[in-house]
Amino acid sequence: MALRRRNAPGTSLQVPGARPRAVIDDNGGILPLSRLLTPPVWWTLAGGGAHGAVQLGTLQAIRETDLEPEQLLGSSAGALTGALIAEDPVAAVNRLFYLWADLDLTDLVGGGWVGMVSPTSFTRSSLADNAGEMASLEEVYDARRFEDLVIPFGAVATDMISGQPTVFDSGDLLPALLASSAIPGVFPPVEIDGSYYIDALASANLPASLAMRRGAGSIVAFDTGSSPDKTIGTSLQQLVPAVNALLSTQQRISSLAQAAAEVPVLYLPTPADLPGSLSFNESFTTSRDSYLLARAFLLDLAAAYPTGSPALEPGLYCRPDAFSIDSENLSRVVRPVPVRAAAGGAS
Amino acid sequence: MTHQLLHSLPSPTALVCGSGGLNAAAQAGMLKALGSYRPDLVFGSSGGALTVASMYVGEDPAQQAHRRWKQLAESKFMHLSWGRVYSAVSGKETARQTRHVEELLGELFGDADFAPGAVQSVVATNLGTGLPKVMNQGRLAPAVQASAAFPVIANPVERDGTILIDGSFSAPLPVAQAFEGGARSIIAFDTGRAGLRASQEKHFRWYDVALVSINHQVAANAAHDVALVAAQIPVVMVSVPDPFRVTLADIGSRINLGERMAREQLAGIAERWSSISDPGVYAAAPEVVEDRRLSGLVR
Repeated sequence: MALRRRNAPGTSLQVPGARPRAVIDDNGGILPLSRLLTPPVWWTLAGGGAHGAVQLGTLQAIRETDLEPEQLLGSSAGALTGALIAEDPVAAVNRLFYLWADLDLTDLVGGGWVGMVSPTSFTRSSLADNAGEMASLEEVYDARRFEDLVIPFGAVATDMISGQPTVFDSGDLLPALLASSAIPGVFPPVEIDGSYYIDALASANLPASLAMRRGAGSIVAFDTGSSPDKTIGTSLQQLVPAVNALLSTQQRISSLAQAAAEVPVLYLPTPADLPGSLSFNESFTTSRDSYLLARAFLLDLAAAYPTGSPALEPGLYCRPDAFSIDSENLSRVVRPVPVRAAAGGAS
Repeated sequence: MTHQLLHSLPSPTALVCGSGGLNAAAQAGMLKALGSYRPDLVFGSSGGALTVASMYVGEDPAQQAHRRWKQLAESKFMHLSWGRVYSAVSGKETARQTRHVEELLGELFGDADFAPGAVQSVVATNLGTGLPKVMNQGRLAPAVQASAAFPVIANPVERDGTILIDGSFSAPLPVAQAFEGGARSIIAFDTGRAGLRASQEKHFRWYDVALVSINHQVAANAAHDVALVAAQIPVVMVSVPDPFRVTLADIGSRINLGERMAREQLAGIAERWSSISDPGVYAAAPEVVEDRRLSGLVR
């Protein structure tokens, strides 16, 4: 029987295959990986708009292991996901699944950001207001203060004047989440204690080096994947995403390189063929693809460092093909995890 | 004292002029503060490319850079209109816009070539690979055009089958390119970082916020590159912070500010060191000294 995928007609549905028998038999089904990571283990979650759905998939995969966060640090969309995990670690995967299934920002960003520009918009401080987002946050989260959360959690935002990343980890939770995800230009800067904050993407979109500086013993990095290079064009609509991708790649590489020079960083793989970061209606395929990739990687990691292996040394543990960019900085710390021949049903 | 300090730097010494849009005009004043000192190599990116391209056309590099920045300020083309923004957003009429940029750069640099011997380089970004592209041969004008091709202001430039955009997206302060080009000490003119004490404005416009976000990322990349290079060789940093909104009318005052701040900062550095040879960042500007990304390297 050929199952068909709803949002990509003609492609057969790829059902995740079972994990190797040996893994399930030896460990009661749970992949033992916490032995490899020196505490305290920090989970860092990157921003990425609609690409945040990638983290639902990676989270599903990591729930098949014994890895647990002792601290969470999130940027932008990653802050929204991180706060859910911190609020209720057990329910987070299920809540995220239904939240992403429900999420539709087409009304807001239907035509992409260019569609929001109009002659009357030039004097406004943002293309959209954030009242709708605030109402959604109030609905989704029960917690109102960082102190209400079960796991210590920090939300990263950028100080608009100095450009420095700022970590909010006490006091009011929702304004910090709003600031962390205030996409520059699209949503207004958020005023907290007299300073203005914008999206973490301007300073620390993948806050690995921040986690290292704040005392992480090891880091699990939840990135958000990327879109394929489109035809290079000269209009702003084509250039802005290209420039954004350029800047965020440099930023994440320097953050990962700094962190991995000091502590082990587990870099979970992410899909590279995602639709645009403002396409909120394909989150199902996005999270499924990332689940498959992350699960295969975690199995590869368990195979490369079998029971009895010592805890990981500092370095960036990732798929061999995780970083295509030629960076001397990065090559000093990368420790590729070999991909096994039969990779648990993933592509 | 400054003169003696500059001459003590291990040779070859590269002057590196960074990005910063119109704030890069301050570099013309900074050059003046260097007096009769001449670096062995020069590297420029984006706005800094304009400064660097002016340096070998006449006897006095500072005067030549000053003249070209003033010429740019007076050019009709540089006055942005909403029509231009619309055509950039829609991708229409790009051919006419490109012709205007070419005419302007033709006025500034004519048919002048790069100085022989690869002593003069400008850096753009290869849009396909995201990597910096160093240019140091052939005609200056098209290289400057590529290096300063910031979206909306100017269109990307095709060169040798690749598409090039503004150098600030891969090498906002091309110290790494100078190091790879053989420099054993660097004088960096940093005009891209936001002032730590920039006044907080109460009314933002959405495109200011979007641009500030890009500025911060670019400045962070510059700091990152400086940190890598300063671990190997001495980097003397002179900085005029970017106050976010520099207009064409401000160019004269930015040049004057650049000269004054460069004199003060170089004198401050020369007061502490009579000669410099060890790797590290040598700076007097607060926004550089207080940058935690450089901490441990600032001397």
